Amino acid sequence: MRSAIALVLLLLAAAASLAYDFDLPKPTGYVTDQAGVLSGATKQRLVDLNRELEQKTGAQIAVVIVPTTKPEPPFDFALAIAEAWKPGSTEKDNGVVFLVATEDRQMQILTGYGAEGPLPDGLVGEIRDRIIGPAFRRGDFDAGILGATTTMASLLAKDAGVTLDGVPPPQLLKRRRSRRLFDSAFPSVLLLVLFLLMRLTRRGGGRRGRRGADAYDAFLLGSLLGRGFPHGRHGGFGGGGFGGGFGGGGGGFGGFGGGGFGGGGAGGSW
Amino acid sequence: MKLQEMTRNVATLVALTMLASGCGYNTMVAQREAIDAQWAQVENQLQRRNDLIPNLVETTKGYASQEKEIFTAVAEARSKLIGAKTRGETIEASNQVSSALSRLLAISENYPNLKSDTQFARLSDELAGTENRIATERRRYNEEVKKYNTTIKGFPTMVFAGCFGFQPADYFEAPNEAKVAPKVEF
Repeated sequence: MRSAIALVLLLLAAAASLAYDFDLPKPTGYVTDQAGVLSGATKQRLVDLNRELEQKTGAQIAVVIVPTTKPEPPFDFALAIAEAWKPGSTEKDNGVVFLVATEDRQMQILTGYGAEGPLPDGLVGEIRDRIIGPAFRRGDFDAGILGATTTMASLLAKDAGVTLDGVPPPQLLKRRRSRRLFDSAFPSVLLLVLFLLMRLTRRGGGRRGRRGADAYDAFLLGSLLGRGFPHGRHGGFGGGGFGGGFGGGGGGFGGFGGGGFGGGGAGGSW
Repeated sequence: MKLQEMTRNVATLVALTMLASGCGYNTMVAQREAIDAQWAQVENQLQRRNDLIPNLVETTKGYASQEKEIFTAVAEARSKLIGAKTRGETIEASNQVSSALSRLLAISENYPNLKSDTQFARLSDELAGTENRIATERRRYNEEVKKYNTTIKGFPTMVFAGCFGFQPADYFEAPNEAKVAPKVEF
């Protein structure tokens, strides 16, 4: 009887550990391309980018390309990789797993706990829609993966208060944003001028009206700030055109850190 | 005399401690703590999802105001989750929220304008990510429950678990229809 119970317990324990016991790819560095779709140049750029990112912020973006994740759903597969490899630093949990399953036409980006700030799910979804989607649909894995990884790296760097050499996406962001700002800021500028004019004409009014005027000012300013400036929306992203080499060589891949993941990110099929 | 008494007390204490650690008392306490800590993670993510719902519903209403039944179902499930007191109630309400949300997302297929709304797209991404987070923390919670339940049901700890009042913990079961995980095509 005792041995029967022990056997059941043992089987239960085995089942628990089996939950993730499918064949995970072995990491071959920052980039693990088992599907063989990336060009040597792209791979080198991804490695250089990651190396600089890690040196400056401790963040790591593990790029994993497999033909298929079946029978596992891409999310479970990506999370198993995240939990086994643990990209990112132990203290900051700022790792990212970027999984692409070429034959399944599925991808999943997972953000570590500490990467969720600079890379909220909605923003990752936007990167997927604007950068990865168009490139993957025309079969250009190099452009999609490099573009998305560079964008994520620059956002992680920006969050840490550093910049990466030869990474222009922030400019792309800014250009788009400033154009939008002009479109929507025009009424605000008009209101601001009006507001200043009114303040000037009100000068010298007695103490009595002061409180009311303050409230009115506050209201005007509030409506100004509320309507004029785009908020809550991200600027756009551009696809290709990441010029400039990173100058390869020097320093190898030192292994992934100890970053924790909670399942955030975005994925989908194309 | 006094010394003898003290020695005896110390000896009893030492014996009790040894007995306690030998019977797995400390293990059971530690494992129960781990369950509670992991449950807090689950609750964080449930809260995060609850916070997302009003925006998602508002955006959807802009395009599909006639789908009143679904909005009511989402609102009811959400407030039920807020009012849940026990873990069992929370789990049940959470599953209800999940299935109501999956219906809400399913109707977006019928409204092309809603589907192409960028605000809706981003909120769907946030929701999908949060559902994944809930699934992740739920799995970790269940793993902790399994460890603990295995301990208190094993021999000889089961004897002491009974004495000290260690009850088996509940799993967070999620029925298949409660899984949102919207299929994202981009």
